[in-house]
Amino acid sequence: MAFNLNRLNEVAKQPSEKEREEARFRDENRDWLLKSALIALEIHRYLRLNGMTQSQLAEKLGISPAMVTKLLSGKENLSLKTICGIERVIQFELLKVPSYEKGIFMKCDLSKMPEENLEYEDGNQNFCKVIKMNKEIESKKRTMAV
Amino acid sequence: MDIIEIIPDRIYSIKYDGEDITEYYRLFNEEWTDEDYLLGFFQSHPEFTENEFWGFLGNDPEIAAARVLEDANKLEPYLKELAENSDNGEQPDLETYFKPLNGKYGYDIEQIPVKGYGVLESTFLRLYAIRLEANCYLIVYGGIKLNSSIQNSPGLQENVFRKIDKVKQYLVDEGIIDKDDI
Repeated sequence: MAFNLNRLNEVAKQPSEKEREEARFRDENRDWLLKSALIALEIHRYLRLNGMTQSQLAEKLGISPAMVTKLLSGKENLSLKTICGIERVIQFELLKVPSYEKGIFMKCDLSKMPEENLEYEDGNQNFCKVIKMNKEIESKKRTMAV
Repeated sequence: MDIIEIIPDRIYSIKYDGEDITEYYRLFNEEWTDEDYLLGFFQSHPEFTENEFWGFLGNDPEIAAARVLEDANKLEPYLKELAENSDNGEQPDLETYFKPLNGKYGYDIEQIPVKGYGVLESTFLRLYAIRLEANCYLIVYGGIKLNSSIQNSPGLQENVFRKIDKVKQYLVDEGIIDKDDI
């Protein structure tokens, strides 16, 4: 027999606890880890092309140099507040909301919108504002038409 | 040298003497998904964009690093999917992923050295393994291929063949493959 699978499994060892943990972590957090690393690369690129140091970036962002080092490690779970701060400095949008970008929120058919959405006051607040704004526009149009 | 199980009966990895980590971990955790490492790698090899192969990236180490990150983050779950397909007799399986490594091993029949690529269309990634049997592979090495040929890619050329030979001998010594089959 050319190859002995049983012998292989006798000889083979299990990965170390560290490798197992890291593999699990990669699996469970892959999406945001990739985004964090891509954002870090975008910042690196900005610094290189603009001849800016990490200390200067820290100053502009109003955060400590240690925090900038963390951002640039590409492994930080960045908050939206931090991302928006970076966007202001580098003047480049890192996160986009596709439906919003395409203006879909503004074009939604209000007649089909459940009324309860308009009363929703927490996480959907901005969305509600847009709907309310649209409703006001529609209302004005109707008035003008009359 | 140790053999470490990554996916039972499907994917194993070598851990070389003197190393704390497996080749699989080195590639998927320490290098290919580490933005710092990748940026350093491409910054120290600026010549990669001067060749025909990678010139389209425009001499931009951050973009090259981002490309590897994306590729590696797709490749690892893809390998798991292929291993699951191998378990279930479905396609594509690991056999469709790995390709024979030509050159000095072109005439090998059993336990052939193989190579695997990243999943992006133009990929820097290379995974080198020994095919133990159908849908059962032992990862021996891997790296970033900067040029169209392995001979011009730093780090790959000098290591791949040497490591394959060393691991094959280890497999014989441990009775995992018959000597006559080499």
